[in-house]
Amino acid sequence: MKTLLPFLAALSLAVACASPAEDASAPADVPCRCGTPMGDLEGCAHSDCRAGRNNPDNPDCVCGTLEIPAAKE
Amino acid sequence: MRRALSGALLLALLAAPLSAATLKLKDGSRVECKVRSYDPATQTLHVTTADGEQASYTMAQLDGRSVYQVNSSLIPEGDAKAQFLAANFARDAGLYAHAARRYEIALKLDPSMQAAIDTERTKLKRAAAEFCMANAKQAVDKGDISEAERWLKTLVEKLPGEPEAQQASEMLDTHYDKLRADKMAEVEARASEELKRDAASARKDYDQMVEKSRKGLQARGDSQAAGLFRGALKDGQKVLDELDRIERKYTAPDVREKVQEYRGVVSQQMVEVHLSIASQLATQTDYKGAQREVNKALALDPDNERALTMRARIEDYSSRGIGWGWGWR
Repeated sequence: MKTLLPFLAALSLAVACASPAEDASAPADVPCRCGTPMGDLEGCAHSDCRAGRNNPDNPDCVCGTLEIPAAKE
Repeated sequence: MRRALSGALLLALLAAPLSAATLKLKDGSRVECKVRSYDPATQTLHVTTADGEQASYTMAQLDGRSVYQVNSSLIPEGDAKAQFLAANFARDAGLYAHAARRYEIALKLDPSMQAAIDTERTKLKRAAAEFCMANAKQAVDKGDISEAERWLKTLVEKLPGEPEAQQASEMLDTHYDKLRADKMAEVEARASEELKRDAASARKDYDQMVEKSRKGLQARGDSQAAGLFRGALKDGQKVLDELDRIERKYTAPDVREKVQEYRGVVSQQMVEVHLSIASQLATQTDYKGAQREVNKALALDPDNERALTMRARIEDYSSRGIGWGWGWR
């Protein structure tokens, strides 16, 4: 039991880190339209895109930047 | 207890996902990976793929979208010239909104670039207008008139100075009223003769609302358009009042249900008009007025995706104090 507790705590923390934070009280986000013709023309109103971040759930999203370690040196 | 917590934290850190990227190659395939480095001399990106393999891709192998993202990651944020070049690249890759945003950034960083940016923005508008018209025509060919109309309306509302906007306005003459008449005809086909007779006057007002909505889109001046849109909403409200009266007359649930179907078509048209007014007000940077119109649209249809998207964009633009549509107009 002593070893199980920290393991469960770690597991729940890891799950929380791994999945995008969905606050139940936050207003529902609009879908990411990056990669659709209209999205490319008008821009995307998804919260990640508006904040200048890449939306990892949409492979066609090119908002934000890639992490390129050497480029930051 | 402390040891347990430290263990938990360590485990959590180990389990945290690596920040992954998706690269799109010219052949259309995608690579899930983590970028290790970029070699500017050979323009090569060195990555570790999702299955642990090491791979390298030159910019020539990547699709334009991914090249743009690599460029975005490499340019200094405060370099106006670099932002300007990235904007040109985005435009040529068909990422029109990204291009418009970067021109805006470049101009803020270096106002002396105004003339050069204006020249490139003119090219951007040209390319965007051609893109819209191509999409509209493709949709017409496929028989998807509602999709075609989205592109035609975008052209008319966002790129009014381009030659394609005039053509789009003429195309709306053919499609706009017909599309809405067809929607109403679908509802009428399910209604009883008695209900159709009762709703005849509401139908007339609906047709009038549709005509004013279209003319509002086609209007040359903002004030003329605003007058037509307001007139359309007045007609729409008249139709809803008439439908209320009809609904009170009937007790049978199936008839009341048919009245709701009429209401649904009218409400959708009113939502559209509210959003057209909102777009017009946002163009004049009257964000409060625009938000009011979007809220009226959402009161009629709380789940309307266009209205929700517009609300998010208005909040964003107004909080950052920037022009609507990244200077499309």
